[in-house]
Amino acid sequence: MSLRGERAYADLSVAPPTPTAESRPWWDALRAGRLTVQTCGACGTAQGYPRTRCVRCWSAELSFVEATGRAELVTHSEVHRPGQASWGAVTPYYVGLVRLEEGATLLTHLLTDVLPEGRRPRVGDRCDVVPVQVGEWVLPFFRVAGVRPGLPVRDGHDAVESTVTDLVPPE
Amino acid sequence: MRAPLATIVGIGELTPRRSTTGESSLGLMAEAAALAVADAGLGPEDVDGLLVGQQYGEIPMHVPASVAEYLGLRPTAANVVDLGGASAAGMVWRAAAAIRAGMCEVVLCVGGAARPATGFPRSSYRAPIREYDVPFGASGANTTYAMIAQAHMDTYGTTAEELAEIAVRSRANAQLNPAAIFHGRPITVEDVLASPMISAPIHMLEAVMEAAGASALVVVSPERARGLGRAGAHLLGAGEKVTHRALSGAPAITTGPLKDAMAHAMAQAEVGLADLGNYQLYDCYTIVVGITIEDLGVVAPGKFGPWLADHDFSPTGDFPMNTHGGQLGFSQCGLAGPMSHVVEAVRQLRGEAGERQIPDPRLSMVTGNGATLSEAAALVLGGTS
Ligand SMILES: [Zn+2]
Repeated sequence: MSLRGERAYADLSVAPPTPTAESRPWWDALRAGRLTVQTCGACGTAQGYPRTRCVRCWSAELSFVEATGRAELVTHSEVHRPGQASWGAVTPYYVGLVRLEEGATLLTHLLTDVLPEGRRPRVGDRCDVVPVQVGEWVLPFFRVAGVRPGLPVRDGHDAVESTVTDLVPPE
Repeated sequence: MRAPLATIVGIGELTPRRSTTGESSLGLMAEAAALAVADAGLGPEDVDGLLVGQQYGEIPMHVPASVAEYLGLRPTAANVVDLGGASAAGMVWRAAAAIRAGMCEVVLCVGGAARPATGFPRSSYRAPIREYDVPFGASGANTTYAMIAQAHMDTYGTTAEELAEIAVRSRANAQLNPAAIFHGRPITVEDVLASPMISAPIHMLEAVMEAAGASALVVVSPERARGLGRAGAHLLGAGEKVTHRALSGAPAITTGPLKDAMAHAMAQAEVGLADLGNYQLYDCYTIVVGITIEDLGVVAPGKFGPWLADHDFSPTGDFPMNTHGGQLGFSQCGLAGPMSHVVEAVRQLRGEAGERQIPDPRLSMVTGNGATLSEAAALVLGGTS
């Protein structure tokens, strides 16, 4: 179990993000400590990464809306042998998918430092965004809070994952 | 059952090896192509259609022209099929479609890869994964499929032992295939769980081993096949579906697009589960086999683990699966890994699988899976006699 907090990443030398014209405002907001989610003015969809069009209705009426930063853990993995050698400096570490309250799903790096000793992340765990300095960049990592989120079930998502609370086996 | 859409009349497959010393991917593909065309009873002059896969490293662009030139072909229909592990199955229905559209008559489908000890450089820019996954420490297939497996475990209680069992059975079938890279090396559940953890819950022995090799298929119309007088495998139905690139874009984590692709293939073939007698299911990782069995409808979602104990994957078992050892036992040699499932189905349907022949193979379900459980292709194949 890693007790690593967000300060462990500042000196890490790893591949940085590669912003495009579409995503620049999202990365700029993170630099200011704010997680935003690109949202469609026509249909209300919040999409995972910025695009020129809404992923659902193809409207171009998109804006960056500040996210609550609360999310539910969709899945995770403890990485022992990273695909990029530069991440070997902090192995093992957790990555995972989180579903924001707004509905978008992001891949992220998970902070597990507040979980009790021996308690691993589980699907359905509540997570909270933590803007973390990694080299020259600020990335939206998420801290696993280790309590059940009680997020509402949303249409269009895997029903299986929305009912995980009752299905998680005892450790 | 419907009338066949096309017929696979030739197969060619090189024995995988761990690495190559100077050989080119083009050279390996040419060897496999020559075997397949000869197996069909045809010559190079007969080939007028060409389907190839993406070739990172050696041939980043213009793959069909490069392969055609190397083989002296002048195809009247040529394409890259860029669906990762679904490319081989995806080639077979595209070959049928090209023939039925009147574009060509004899289609060579070929894939393979050399594997120099130093490896080929991979493209450094792969949008959008490069921007939204790599900077977080998530890179490569291991971590992606680990997250898929972990979701299945957390959600359904699937155990590490159940996942390991799939690797054990693939190795067991590989003991009947002298060409398999793990022939002569069976393993136990304990071996799998004791192998190094790559990205939890995936252990090293639950991932395919990369190798060098090549495979090829020759596809013609059923009418042309009859004239060749050689047993083959009829394409009875196909299905395909592509849903996302990065796992964060997946509509669901513990089920994939193969569910719809397999259902489409069976509906097109006008057959049901009871008509299938062998299963050549894409297996880059153990979890993919479990999810595919669930998505096929053989067992309820989340239940493949307990189901394993009552079913047998061997050639004489009730659910003969990946009788060549799967890629977990055979190896993954570029696109020849995915194609190995098609080649094995043809061998079984011809009755030419030797020591591992399934007594009554009936119809084959063949699957391909690419990227992050996101590119899917499925085939229903049947014998010609
Ligand atoms: Zn919209």
